[in-house]
Amino acid sequence: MTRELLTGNAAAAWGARLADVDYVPAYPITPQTEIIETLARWIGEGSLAARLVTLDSEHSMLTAAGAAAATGARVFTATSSQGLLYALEMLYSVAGWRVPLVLVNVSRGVSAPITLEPDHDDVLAARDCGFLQIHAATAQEVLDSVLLAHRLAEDPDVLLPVLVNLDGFHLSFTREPVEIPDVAAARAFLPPYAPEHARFGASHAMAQGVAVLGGSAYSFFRYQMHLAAEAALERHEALAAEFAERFGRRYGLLEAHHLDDAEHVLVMSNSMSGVGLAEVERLRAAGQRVGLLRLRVIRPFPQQELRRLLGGRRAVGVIDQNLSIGKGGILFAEVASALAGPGAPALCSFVSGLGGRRFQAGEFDRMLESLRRAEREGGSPEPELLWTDTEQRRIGELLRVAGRGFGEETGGAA
Amino acid sequence: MKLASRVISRSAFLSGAWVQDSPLYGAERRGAPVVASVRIAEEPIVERGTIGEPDALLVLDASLFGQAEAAVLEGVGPEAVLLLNAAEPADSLQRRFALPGRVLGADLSSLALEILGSATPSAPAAAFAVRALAIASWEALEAALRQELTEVGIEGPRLEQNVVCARRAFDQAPVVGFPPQRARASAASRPMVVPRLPAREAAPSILAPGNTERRSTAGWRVFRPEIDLARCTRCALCFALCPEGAIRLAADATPWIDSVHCKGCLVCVHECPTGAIVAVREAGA
Repeated sequence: MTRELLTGNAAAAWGARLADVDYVPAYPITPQTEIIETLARWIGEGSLAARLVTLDSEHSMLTAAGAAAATGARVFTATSSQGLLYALEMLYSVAGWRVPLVLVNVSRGVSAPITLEPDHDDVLAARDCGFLQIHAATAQEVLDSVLLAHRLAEDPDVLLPVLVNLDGFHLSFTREPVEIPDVAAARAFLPPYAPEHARFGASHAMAQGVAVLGGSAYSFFRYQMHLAAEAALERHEALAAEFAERFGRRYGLLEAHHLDDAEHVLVMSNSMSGVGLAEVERLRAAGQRVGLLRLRVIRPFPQQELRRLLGGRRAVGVIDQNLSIGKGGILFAEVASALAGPGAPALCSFVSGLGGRRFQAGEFDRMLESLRRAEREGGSPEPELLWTDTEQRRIGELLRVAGRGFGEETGGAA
Repeated sequence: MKLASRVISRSAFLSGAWVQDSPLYGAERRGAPVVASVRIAEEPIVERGTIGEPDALLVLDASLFGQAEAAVLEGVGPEAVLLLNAAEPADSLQRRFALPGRVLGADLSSLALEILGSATPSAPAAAFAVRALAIASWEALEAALRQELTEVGIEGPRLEQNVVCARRAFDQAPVVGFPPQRARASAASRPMVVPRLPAREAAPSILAPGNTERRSTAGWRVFRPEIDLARCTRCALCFALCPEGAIRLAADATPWIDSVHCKGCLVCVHECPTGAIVAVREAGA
């Protein structure tokens, strides 16, 4: 075990290296490119025995990844934002082939308008395709999750590809101390992939046909994917327990902080939940009984576990770093549906962090006030965008520079 | 800036601290402002993202204070320590830009020019900050510097020059340490509901005739090219090769440089066949 400063991107590359992947189809996009650059350097130096191929698009990249995985190769690839959306058609196809591979997505808000900084509209657009999704919050968790993801994807009860998500910038380009497992320990946890059912070689030529026409057969096989994803809940817990035994770090489907006596709980995902934790601990120090729950495995969605942890709380607020245009926070809707029924807490929906927007001072205090109000007056599914007069003034200045008026009725400078 | 931040954080890491460093930049281009954040703690760090209210601020280009859109002082409170790379004395800069906090200055670009031959002050800036803020010993700093510079391909004599340069900056830095209390900016924002704009005004588009010429990029320069017309043969190579189109020709082919849009890349200085174009250091750069 070595302790080193790694960016989230370098941690993802280390995960692939320790997984001893065979094949890396690649296409660059900020803020992901450092991952494939790092793997390319290692392959060039001879410290990773894999084949890296640059493709002409993310669509081709995912096709190559799925095809290689179908031959029994261990496959790793990575993309971000527009790249993930461009590959979306193939995400559905590859998942339907029931082949294991690991795809890292480095979250970046989608265009237009353009940004390089993170939110989760990209990764959540892929939530229904059959890829399992693990959302990591630290560089250490990125490395560990890539190892876990390969094991989970290759599990005979699962055989679905797994997407590991990390935030651009806040995690991808952020260095922090990471424990890099020894090669031998990683190999013991993740032995070489040698599936009996999919072997391909010069003397073992095979063709794979995936053809089903008609609703009943289609329904059956699509639902098999759903059942496999549900089975992955249990398999993840077993693998996480084994991982904890070997490496001393335990990853749950959800990550609970200060929930024991919490009356009010905020639900977050990904790296900005670290900011949430610091704020929750500050509120706790001031005597507030507030807790934090981080959604880690988002597909399969751990509905039972979520009900167990949040049922009976007075109020729950979901902070979505995404926006379903015309509906609101995506994860709010998922959490709300999981909690629906007798005894459900009052619910609030907050949206923050779009395109990397930072939390402003005092916003967690105000969200807690909203939860108290919801507890008294009932919750609401309407999203509340966290927004301040300072930001509004800045938008006014930008519009003025762009030659637009910014009328008093909309200027709203409080 | 990113390299300086990495040297600072690794110095602390090698001294046993928990650290986190992160650069933030938009579309990469020469001269664009870059900000990097470093957090140092005795315990694991859970916060992340750009630091909103820094305890200390290291500014490598003091001309950014004059650019409102760079918002260099946003969130900088009166307890903060400001470390400035500038030829102009720190107290003069503090008066001129009404800088808050405790301000220390050093002419690190000139030091880098003297020892490295280029205005690339990452190593001395990191050393100045590590010493001024009492982050780590020289030994930890030197080890961090060697590792970080090697990782970006700076080796051999160039690496040794950077170490010498860093040592000079380290030795000239007064030790003030971090402020005793976490720095806090006073101005708090108030929450508000986002107003809905009329649909035709709500798109993030600018529909106007081209306007990039209104943007001055003069502040990007460390050196500006100057043409000695007595030695100029009017060959027009500089005009043809300027990547910014910032060199124009008069009717008789005499070149002149648009000093508002020249970014100081010095391609013209390198390409002029008679050596008629020389690089002159900008005051304050």
